[in-house]
Amino acid sequence: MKEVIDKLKKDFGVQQKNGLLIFDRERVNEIFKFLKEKGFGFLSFITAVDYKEYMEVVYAVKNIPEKDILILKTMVKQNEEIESINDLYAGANWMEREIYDLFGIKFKNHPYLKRLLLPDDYKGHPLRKDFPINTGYKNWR
Amino acid sequence: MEVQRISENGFEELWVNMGPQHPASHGVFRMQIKVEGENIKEVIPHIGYLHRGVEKLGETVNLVQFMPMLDRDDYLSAISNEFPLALAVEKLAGIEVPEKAEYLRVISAELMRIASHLVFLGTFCLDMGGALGGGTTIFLYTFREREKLLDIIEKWTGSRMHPNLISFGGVRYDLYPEFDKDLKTFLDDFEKKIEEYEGMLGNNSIFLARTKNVGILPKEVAMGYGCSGPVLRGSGIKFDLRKANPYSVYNKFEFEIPTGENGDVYDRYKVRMEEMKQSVRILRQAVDGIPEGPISSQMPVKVAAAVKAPAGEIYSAVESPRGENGVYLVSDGKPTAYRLKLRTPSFYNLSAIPYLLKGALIADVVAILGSLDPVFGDVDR
Amino acid sequence: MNVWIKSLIYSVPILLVVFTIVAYLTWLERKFAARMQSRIGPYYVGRPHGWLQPLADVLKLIVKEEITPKNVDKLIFNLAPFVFLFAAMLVYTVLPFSENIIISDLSVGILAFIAISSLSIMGAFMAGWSSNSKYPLISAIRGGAQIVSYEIPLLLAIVAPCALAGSLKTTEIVKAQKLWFILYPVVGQISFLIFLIAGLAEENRTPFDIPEAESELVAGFTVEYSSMKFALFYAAEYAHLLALAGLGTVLFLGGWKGPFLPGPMWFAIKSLALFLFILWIRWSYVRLRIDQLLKFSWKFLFPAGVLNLLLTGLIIILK
Repeated sequence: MKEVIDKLKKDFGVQQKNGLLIFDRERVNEIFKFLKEKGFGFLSFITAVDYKEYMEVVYAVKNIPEKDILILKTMVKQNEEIESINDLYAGANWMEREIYDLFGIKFKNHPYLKRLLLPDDYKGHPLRKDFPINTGYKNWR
Repeated sequence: MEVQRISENGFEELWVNMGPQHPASHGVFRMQIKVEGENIKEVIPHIGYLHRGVEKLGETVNLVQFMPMLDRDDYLSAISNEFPLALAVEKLAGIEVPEKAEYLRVISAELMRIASHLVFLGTFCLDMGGALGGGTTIFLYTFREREKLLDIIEKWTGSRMHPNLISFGGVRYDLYPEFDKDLKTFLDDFEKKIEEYEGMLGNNSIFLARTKNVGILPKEVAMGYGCSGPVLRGSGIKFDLRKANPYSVYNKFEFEIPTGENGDVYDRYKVRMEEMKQSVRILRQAVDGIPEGPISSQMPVKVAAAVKAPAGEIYSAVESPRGENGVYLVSDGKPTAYRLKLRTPSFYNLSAIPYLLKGALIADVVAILGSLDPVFGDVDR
Repeated sequence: MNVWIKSLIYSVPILLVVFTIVAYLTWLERKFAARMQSRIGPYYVGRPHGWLQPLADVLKLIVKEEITPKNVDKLIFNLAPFVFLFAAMLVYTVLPFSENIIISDLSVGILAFIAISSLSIMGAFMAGWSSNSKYPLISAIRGGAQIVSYEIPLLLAIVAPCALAGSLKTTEIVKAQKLWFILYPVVGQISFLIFLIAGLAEENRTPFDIPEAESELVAGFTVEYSSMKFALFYAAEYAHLLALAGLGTVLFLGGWKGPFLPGPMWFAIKSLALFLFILWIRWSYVRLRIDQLLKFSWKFLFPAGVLNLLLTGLIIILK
């Protein structure tokens, strides 16, 4: 796994801060294509974290024969989009839909970017930090 | 008729709705199926009927208060939800867990694994055989076994399905005096019963005809979707978190990992049956070797805000009966987590449904859905 | 006038008796199934065995609200349960309960039985079509395909003992059984097996109950029916099944013959034993898929039936 990380740092501009791998969001597809060729064919999860000025999208891939796991992050600012990796990993379909649903990050080239868990006509993205909670909101009609 | 007819090539296609209330959909799940005769052309699944916002709750509630809420996620095997959070916080904060507590955690996890697989077996046959028919017979037998198991857990922790057993630093409740006698009687009885179920179903040609070569999931597709657990092992990939990245005291026990060959419904069923037997094996080894000692390395907390996790991020995962159940914890030093992502296995297993159902027959829908064994508390959180 | 009075005298007792027996057959099924599943079954209504349960069920069904959906084809919707019931009840006229107790000793009794019992598919299809909804329609179409495919093996299996007996008259067939036909060297058992399997498929019983109680597409072709009409479907199904068990006893198990007890009692005991066997099969097996069902009928049962008939003919010639 060390060679993979070194190659990532050299060729794809991945940085390592505090033991975490951070990459540039423009190069999403190249990086994951490289990783998939190296045997990281299992997409464990994609999620997002809201740090108030920017959001981070976190990808976790696993190499099943070598029993490795790699966690990569990228920074996405407000109203920026990131490319979908749906062609490489079929599971990214629902994972990215869930992130769009709960965070509002849009994914380019996604075949069916609609809300997954919440009703289709729901307004707002709940997992953002500025979503109002404890407001006495009555969500029945 | 409010039937939508879309004529293509002279055939008429029908949109059939397997709605959220359905006797065979294992929970609240809606599928819109485009059917031509008996063949399925396209599936549009809708989930989210059981979405309770657990991840948002994780950001508003203290970590200690959040533990019982995790029981309600995968309500059929509750320990496997609490386990990864405890592992994550203990690793970040450097808390040691005494050995007796580790043994107790393993025992409860394996008991819940058996309980969950019994529910799978019962509802799988129930869906295929009908609510009045051979399916109900097996359903009632497996639930009878499960009742005995839940009685043991109730005597231990006080509640049947949501034990709330694991705490940061150990377990919460100690064993009661006749625990090993009860457990050994149950295990002896259960081994005979597993053979009975295998005899009823394993050579039954109707059952084989319904499950062989149905719903085949190839290896690369399974890995691409992120399926784990029996779904992945049924497709032929030998990967189990208990052996690959051992956590707790699993490296002290001897057990095997059953794998399937083709990735069809029968293989997934067989993998789960074998897993039950391996769980019995682990339980026998564990119950004989419980060491003496304290059950928790931390004093019980008086104020919920006293447990803090230092700043950092960590992902830790556990092998639940459905797959890889993990927690991605981002903490900033406060008693509440900053972001708590629950990587629940059923969500990723279920996302393979559009691939699996394409080209199947309507009658296979229930078999395939049952073999993936989704629990909608997991899917929707 | 004579014909009308005679038919009334014969038909009303038969109807009453058959309905009561059918109601208690539901009780028997529930108790039997419960014991197989290690539970008790009906218990409270008429302690300790729950023998008043059928009465409670009938009363409940009579008092229920009758809901008819809006866009149904009213005539066919209301007529379908009666066609189904008619097919189930009329076949009792050719079953011999004893040497002299038979309502209508037609010389082509078996043929009449099969012809009339095939009318049940008409009832099922009428119900499915007129309900004006997707699920009953799919279920009725599947039911039609299934019943039509299994008619032929059933016929082939029934013709074998008729050929051995040399007549289509039901009383003659029983009289010709010095040795019960099921114990006949090879053709007896094969005919019985084919008869049983094809008969189960005719009656929509598990493992062949695709049109009915599927958990995939809810309750099959009876999904839009409520209250008394549903009760008629239910009763008709059990009556038809009992008639099939009766036919099985006549053809294979020796009808009314037996020592000590009078003829009708033996007929009842044998029919009931066959009925219990059919119940046992229901509560042990999961169901087949529709395409596997049809493949099984055309590729396996039909050739087996033909071969069986050829063997029977050979045995008759050699005798």
